[in-house]
Amino acid sequence: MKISTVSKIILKTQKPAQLIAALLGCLIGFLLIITSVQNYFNLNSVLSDKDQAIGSQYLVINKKVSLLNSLNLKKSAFTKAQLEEIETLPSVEKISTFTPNQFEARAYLQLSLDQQNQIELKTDLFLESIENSFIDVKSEDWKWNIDDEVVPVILPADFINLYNFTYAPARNLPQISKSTIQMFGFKIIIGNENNETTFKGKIIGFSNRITSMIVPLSFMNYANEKYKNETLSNQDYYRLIVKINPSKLSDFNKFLNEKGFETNNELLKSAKLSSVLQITLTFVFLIGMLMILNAFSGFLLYLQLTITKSKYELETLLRLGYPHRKLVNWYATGVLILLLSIFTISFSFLKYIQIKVIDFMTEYGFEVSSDINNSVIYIGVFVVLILFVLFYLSIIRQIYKLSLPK
Amino acid sequence: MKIRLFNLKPKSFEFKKSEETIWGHDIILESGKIYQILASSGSGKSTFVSILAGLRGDYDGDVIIGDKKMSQFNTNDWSKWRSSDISFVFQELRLFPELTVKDNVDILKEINKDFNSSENKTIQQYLEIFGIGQKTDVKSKFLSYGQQQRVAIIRSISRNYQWLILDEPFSHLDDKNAQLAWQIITDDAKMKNAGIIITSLDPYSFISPNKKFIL
Repeated sequence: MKISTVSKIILKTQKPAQLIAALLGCLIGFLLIITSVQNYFNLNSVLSDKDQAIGSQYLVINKKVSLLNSLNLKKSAFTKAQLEEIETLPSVEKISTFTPNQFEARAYLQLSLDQQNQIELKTDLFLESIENSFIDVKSEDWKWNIDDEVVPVILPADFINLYNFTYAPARNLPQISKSTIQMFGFKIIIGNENNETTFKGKIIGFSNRITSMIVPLSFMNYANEKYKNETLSNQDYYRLIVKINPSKLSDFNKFLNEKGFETNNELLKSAKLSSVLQITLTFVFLIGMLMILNAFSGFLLYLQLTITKSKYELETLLRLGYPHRKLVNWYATGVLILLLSIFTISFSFLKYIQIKVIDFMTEYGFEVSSDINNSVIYIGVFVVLILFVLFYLSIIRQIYKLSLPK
Repeated sequence: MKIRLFNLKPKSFEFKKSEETIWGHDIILESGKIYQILASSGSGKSTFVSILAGLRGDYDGDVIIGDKKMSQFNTNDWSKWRSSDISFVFQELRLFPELTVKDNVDILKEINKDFNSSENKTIQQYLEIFGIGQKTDVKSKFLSYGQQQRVAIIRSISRNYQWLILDEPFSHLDDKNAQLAWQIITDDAKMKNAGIIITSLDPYSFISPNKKFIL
């Protein structure tokens, strides 16, 4: 394509190195901004996805125990009003109360691992039940009907660690694995000497979510009715399990603090971690904005310098009658081509970065879409439009100034 | 197209008042005629050219082109005035040093798209007449000042115009080339029924203006 004489005149005064430097600055700033926005959406998608949230979606909460509770002057059970209030919070998806046993229960376990290694355990049991949908252990064995002799039990995942690393060494007992203990049954004896029944307990899994020993709700309701200890009060609820929106963990934590409720600190730490991640990304986004403002002002200055360096040529063209609008359009077309190039190159890089991000996050068990979020594209287009308008106004001002009498 | 100088007075210096000056009088310049402005250095002849070219606005009075005041010209008016009504040979020539002689003249094709070049001699023919035919593809920065002046003259007539303004166009030409250039200029202006305004230090015996101004 033949370059016009005007292009030859103006381009002769330009130094390619300066243009490349200005473009690189602009490109880096633009890439930083769209990358941080895209990763903000990547993180949000992970936080909002119920199947792969960072940190648990489920929190077990209770009221803080005070001296009044210790002196039996105050109960730490949740009232009906409090339960309703929690259930209606925007950050809460659903709740379930823990139903504790109101009957006496004991466990007896005898394990013969070999001739020399024998385990015998007797203990009182503290049992709880909750709705099945809150339990993270899925098993076909998790059911109990009134004629069943076998009661399935789910233990907390930490239980086996406590046994293996504290109880067993202290009593010179052998350590056991999760699979081993599931092979053996144990006896669950409920009721008192006047009304006592023995069931076969079977451990069917270990929960990372529930920190107590749980039995099916059907069994708990049956046993509470039939074997209830008359000295105990009516059903109160001291613990709740709550399913929350992970991206609103900080709102929920604020609620807990206001009400004097508490939960597992480790779970809240992961909530804080995700908040820190969001803050970090926002910070990176702001840094990106500052960088791009810096880069764009650098690019604008370069453009002004370009026109200043070509002042003799532009003045001469205008004196010869070259239309000022054509000169404006010449520069505007050049700027538009450069901005579109920056846009295309940046999004190509972003696509490559997104693929790497997906690989990284998949390694840690998170699924992220490979598509660039539409909002990122809209933001990119918006930034290009704003820049073009700013540059265009600057070009017009300078060319018009040259074409009018001083 | 008439040019009316209505009590035009520069603000940047004190001019010598006289009947023969262009300053401070109501003067009408008519197309098809030749006007010569004689003046020593610093007396304002280039200022006058700059006002007509729209480079300076520091004056009192006005220049009226047709029925429009130059002081009220907007950017579109200036663009039209410079592209189709007026052509210049500036004192400082205003060639593009990095372009060849041919490109320096060809630039007008991008400005005056409706110029019918078939009625004129080609650039090459003009360069031959001026004795610099072999310089077509040489960058103008490598020409002598006199050669550059000849290129600037060729450029000024290679377009449509109603007024041709020449600011000391022969300062670096010998008498022979100056006469030759003047002949070419007047022939071209006559063909276009254009007016000529020429400024110079020297009266030049070969110039017979319709009116002479002395600053």
